[in-house]
Amino acid sequence: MPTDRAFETSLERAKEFLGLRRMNRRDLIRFVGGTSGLAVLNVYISACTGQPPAAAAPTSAPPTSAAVPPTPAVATQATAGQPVTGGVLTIGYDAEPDSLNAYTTRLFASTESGIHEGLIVTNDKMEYVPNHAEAVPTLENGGVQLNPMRVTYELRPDLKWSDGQPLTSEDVKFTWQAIVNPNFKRGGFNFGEGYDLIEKVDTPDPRTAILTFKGNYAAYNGMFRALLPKHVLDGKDINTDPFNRVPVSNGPMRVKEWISGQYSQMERNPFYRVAGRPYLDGLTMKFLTATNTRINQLQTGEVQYINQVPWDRMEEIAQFPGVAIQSLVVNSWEHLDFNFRNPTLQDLAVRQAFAMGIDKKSIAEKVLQGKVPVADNVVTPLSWAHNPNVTKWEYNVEKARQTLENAGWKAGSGGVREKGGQRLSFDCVTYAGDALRERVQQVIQAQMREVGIELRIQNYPPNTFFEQVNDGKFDIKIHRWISSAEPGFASFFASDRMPPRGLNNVFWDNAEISKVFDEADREVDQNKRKELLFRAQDILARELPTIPLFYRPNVIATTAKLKNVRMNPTNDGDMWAVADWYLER
Amino acid sequence: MGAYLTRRALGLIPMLIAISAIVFGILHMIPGGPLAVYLENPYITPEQIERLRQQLGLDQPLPVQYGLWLKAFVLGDWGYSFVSRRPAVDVVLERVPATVQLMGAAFVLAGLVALPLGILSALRQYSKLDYFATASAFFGISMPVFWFGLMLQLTFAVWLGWLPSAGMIEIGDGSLVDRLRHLVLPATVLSLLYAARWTRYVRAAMLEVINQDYIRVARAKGLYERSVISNHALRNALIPVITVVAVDVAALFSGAVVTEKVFAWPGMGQLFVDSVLKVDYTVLMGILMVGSAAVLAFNLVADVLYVALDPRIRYE
Repeated sequence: MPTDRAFETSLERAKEFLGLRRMNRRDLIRFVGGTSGLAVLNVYISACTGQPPAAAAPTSAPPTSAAVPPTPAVATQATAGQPVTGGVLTIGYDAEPDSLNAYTTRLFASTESGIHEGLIVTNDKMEYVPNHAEAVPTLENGGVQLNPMRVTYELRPDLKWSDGQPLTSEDVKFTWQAIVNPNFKRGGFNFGEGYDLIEKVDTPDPRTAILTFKGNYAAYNGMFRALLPKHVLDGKDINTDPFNRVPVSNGPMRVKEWISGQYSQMERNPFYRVAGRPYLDGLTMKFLTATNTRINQLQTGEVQYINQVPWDRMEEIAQFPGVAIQSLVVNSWEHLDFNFRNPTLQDLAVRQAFAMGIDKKSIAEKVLQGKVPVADNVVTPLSWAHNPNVTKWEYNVEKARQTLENAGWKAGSGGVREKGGQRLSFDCVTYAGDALRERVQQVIQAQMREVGIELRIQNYPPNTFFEQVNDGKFDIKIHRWISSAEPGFASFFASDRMPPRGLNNVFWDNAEISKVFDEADREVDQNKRKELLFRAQDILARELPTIPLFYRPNVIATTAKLKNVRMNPTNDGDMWAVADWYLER
Repeated sequence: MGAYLTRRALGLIPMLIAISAIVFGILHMIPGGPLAVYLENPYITPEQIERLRQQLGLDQPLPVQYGLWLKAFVLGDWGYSFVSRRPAVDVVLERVPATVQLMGAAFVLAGLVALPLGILSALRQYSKLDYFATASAFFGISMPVFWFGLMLQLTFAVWLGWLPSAGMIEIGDGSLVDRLRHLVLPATVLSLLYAARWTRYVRAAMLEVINQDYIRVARAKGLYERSVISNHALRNALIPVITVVAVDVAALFSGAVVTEKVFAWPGMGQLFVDSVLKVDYTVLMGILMVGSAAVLAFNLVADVLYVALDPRIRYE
């Protein structure tokens, strides 16, 4: 008996496998080639026409017309079908959240994004769109006024919390008060320093909140990504309140139950601000930390959505029957940096030799299987602040050698160049355990040997890595930064941000760029701020304290029946528009 | 015996305190610390990190931190998790049922296999059965758990579809049958290693005993073979075996990292690894204290079992 059953099953599987193989592969190619290309193209167009991205924000549909599902950037033919209400989606998630309070969680991946909504949100094209607010405040639309800087948020009418209580501007004020309370132990990724720069929050009526800042603060749109309910939390210790596990929230979903180590269940929030949404009755999130287990559960249908799909498994998974793959290049970049405390690395010729000696294209194609776009700039093309015209250093071994030769670095023993007894030999560090990055590191080591530079690989576990790096104990480091939609790269390169005061852990002291950053941080007019940030990127590309290597895609795999999923390039999370997801019958 | 047990049980207390001091010291030697996660974040200023350090008491000298921890721990307050901000006692103890279920099932399964297989293997040394048992034991000992687990998952869940691939219950079900179905694969994988080890110990111990003079005497006085084996050989052979098993079984509360990860089992092992990676001192201390207490307790149990098995052993 068992053998019969086994035979039948495997025969079935084989049929499905052969029949659906071609279609899924096509899907995959459309994704890899299409999606990221499209997103990048959009940004290039808006950069060329000089459109301020904030102007694009109000295009998001007001609540009344939201009954028509928005066309996702990742359009597939199948989305032409009518959305259906109902069904529970089970997700295999790679990590268990530590807290479902957006201001105490330390995790980057925001599982809480389907539960909470803020005043505004970053969409799939990395533009700000209003969520609970009527509009994204800017200088142009009068939402921002200067001297002193005041930002006015007008809330949408009739907002409610998931317990049915009204949501008012008092909750905005309470959120700010809760965060700046000195006893509050802040979490991670909604940590923006902006809250400390607010002097007061006025609430002239239940729908209006006016933030008055102590000085000009350009990154004000990065704040208030979630709200805290005053009627639930007032007078409580927010650090330890049960709210952090089962919050009263304002997003499309609300938490029903969270069983540690196993799963959390979310159900439709009946008080959600958009009528008729979400389409899904609920979400179940299983915590499956092992990648292979996630993939197996997707294959058996025990889960219908998995995140953090490794690139080298994409093609295999795309062939599973009834499974679709989606990928999006996110706001994160891999880079190689120089330690300016090492006098040899202060020589621009040496850094230029690296820039010309590393063949990013061949690494992207061969090691990273063509799934990763090459980076020339620390600001990703998704950002309005991305400068497409910075100096690009083409791969050219001959020119790299010549540059070193001209600077007096002559071939020495073992093929390593030297000058006055100083050899071009450096410690190169990264996190241990990231196999892909370690392979990239080895290829770079081989490529630099061609130029006459020796790299000694020395890697640290993740939690030691930053300690070593911030102490300046390295010559060359390879890792990645993840950024919110705000172009916050001043932290990495301004002279006054060296550890322990910031993350300029290349210890680069450049007066020119520091002045530009200082102005940009306080420039509220986005067009002027963009000019300043463009200039900063020019300086970086010229002076090369860092060599950007690649931008990084995130990949998910879902049942092909799940429609309307739009991923998010920032820490606003892939569930930012979960209200629009629906399951085809 | 009663007085002896009381004395031993009381003796565990200074032992546990000594262990806690050592473990506390070692944990604080982990480079990075619980705030290292913030160093990567461009939006957190050093002033904010410093404030957190003070709020969490991490700026105090280590002996002071230990003293505060010990005082609270004895009073039942294990502190708050640095990661989830929930009471550490909840975070740790909520993992106990799942851990005991998995480990217990694996131990029972392993015992049921190892005892008969080890005895038969010794009695019929160099027989086909013996060779089979030996080969299986080496297979079990050398099999990488994550690989074997994934293979079982692929075979029984993905290809055959007989069993769920991971998790502890089907959400919304949770009946006994459902729980048992989820338990089969992880318990099998986990029991393999223990069954293999224990089979070897039982076999070795039995081989040593059955060549002793007193076994020959027992046979010479005309006892049935059955009685010789179970009353004379096995009882003596079990003493070294119990020493080994007691140490293994102490892991009842510590969990099995790899198996739990592969099968998404909400046990102590996964919690431990997560907490190590995030350097969550309070939770780590809780787990390690539970684990240490289990080791000491099972050693005591082993000592008591010696008496039951061997009348020559007496505790005063």
